Amino acid sequence: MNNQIKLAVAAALLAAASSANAGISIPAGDWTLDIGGVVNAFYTSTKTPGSSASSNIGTGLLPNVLAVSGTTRQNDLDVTFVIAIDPGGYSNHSLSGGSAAENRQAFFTFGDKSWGTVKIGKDLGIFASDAILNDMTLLGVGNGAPGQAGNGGGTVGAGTTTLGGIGAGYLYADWKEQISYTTPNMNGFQATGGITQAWNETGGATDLLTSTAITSGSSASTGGSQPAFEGKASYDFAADAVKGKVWVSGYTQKIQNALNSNSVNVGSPTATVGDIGVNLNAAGFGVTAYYYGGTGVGATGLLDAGLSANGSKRDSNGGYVQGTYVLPTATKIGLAWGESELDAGTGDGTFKGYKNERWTVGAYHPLTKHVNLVAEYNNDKVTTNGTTLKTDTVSLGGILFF
Amino acid sequence: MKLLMMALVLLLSGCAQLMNGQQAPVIIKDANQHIMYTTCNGAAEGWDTCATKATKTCTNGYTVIEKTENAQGGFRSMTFQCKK
Repeated sequence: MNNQIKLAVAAALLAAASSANAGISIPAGDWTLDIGGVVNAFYTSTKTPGSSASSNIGTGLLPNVLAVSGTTRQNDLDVTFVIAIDPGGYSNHSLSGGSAAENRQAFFTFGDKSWGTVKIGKDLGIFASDAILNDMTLLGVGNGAPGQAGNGGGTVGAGTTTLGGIGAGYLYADWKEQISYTTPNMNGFQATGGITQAWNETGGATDLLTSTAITSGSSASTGGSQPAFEGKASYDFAADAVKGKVWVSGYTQKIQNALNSNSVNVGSPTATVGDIGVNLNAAGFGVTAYYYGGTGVGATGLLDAGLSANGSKRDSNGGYVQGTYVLPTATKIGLAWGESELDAGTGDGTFKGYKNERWTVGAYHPLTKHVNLVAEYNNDKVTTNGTTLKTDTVSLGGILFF
Repeated sequence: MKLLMMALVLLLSGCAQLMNGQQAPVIIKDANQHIMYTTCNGAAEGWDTCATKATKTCTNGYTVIEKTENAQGGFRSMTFQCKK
């Protein structure tokens, strides 16, 4: 009887909210097309002690997104595709054309619930994907707001978006061409393995995303004859009182023809990294704990500043801890701490190590079921060779998803 | 003084409306099979709120049929079946 009443309530909700699903669905012949996306903007005020504040308005850790996807069932196979464009919002001078844009997703999948799914195309990388998906600043700002100074000159961030917890708790999974296979969901257990586009090691005088002064080796032959290999496994559980997820993932790639900082070939080392994470939720409280460790992969973007000045691999590790609580107003408040470290490698000379530590306090309020208002305070502390740069950032804005 | 009071009342009533947070509802996909669908998109919701809504909807518990997550922006959906 209770179930019948609840079904009636749910039916009433359906009548009152005719388009609760994300996106706009359009039947089109054999296909059901869906248009979905994200629109967001944040006011940010970033200040480093000893300098004046930098106030800006731009997109947060997510760019704006317009995604078209489609699903169909053909020849006993579920077939889907996604193509997305991702314009950023920040610009700081006239005649700039608005802002930079990215193209993050263009992939299709085929499979069946009985044996799994094959994905072909560009999507979020497999390694460290759960780290960013569980970061509370994913739909906020976090670290790297426009104007944030790096510890080596220049500004932090990629321009289109901020960094959230990237480089201060986890490596960026990034967007990669890939061919992958995902198992069916087996009572909460699921695994994904695949090959992804091998990348060059990036180096030079500064870390690309944190603009930190680190003289590093590089490469120009990607993985040579080999792709990169990535995999992950996760277990979802939902007991009466506690719900959560545990995951592990890994990445390895040969760096063909690595170069030292003088562009001399020093061989072909292999970069590897692994991680582990857990997310637990009970009675409105949520806790996420995450750790990664690797060699040759860098500390912010994959294969960025992962080689020492003489081309040897540097070790790196980091992690974050995050606690959230949902208030009676449905507002989620959170506190997060994260840290990434890059150790000096053989032959580094003047580079003695790098550490990026952040604290983030955030409030995320569901104004409607498709609009969130966000307020964050982020404290970042980058230490390179004993020199520390502190930055405070306040962010206020909102994000709409449809 | 009156203007100040009016401004204060407007501010408080505006804040009260803004504080009335809204989560995505649970929708029936198949009434005969007791199959439901909900989303928990964004920063304020997460997999925990999807699971909480399923728990509140299904008195005798539920079985997850499908969970989907889009990497682009915290799009999360869950299809579940209430136990009879």
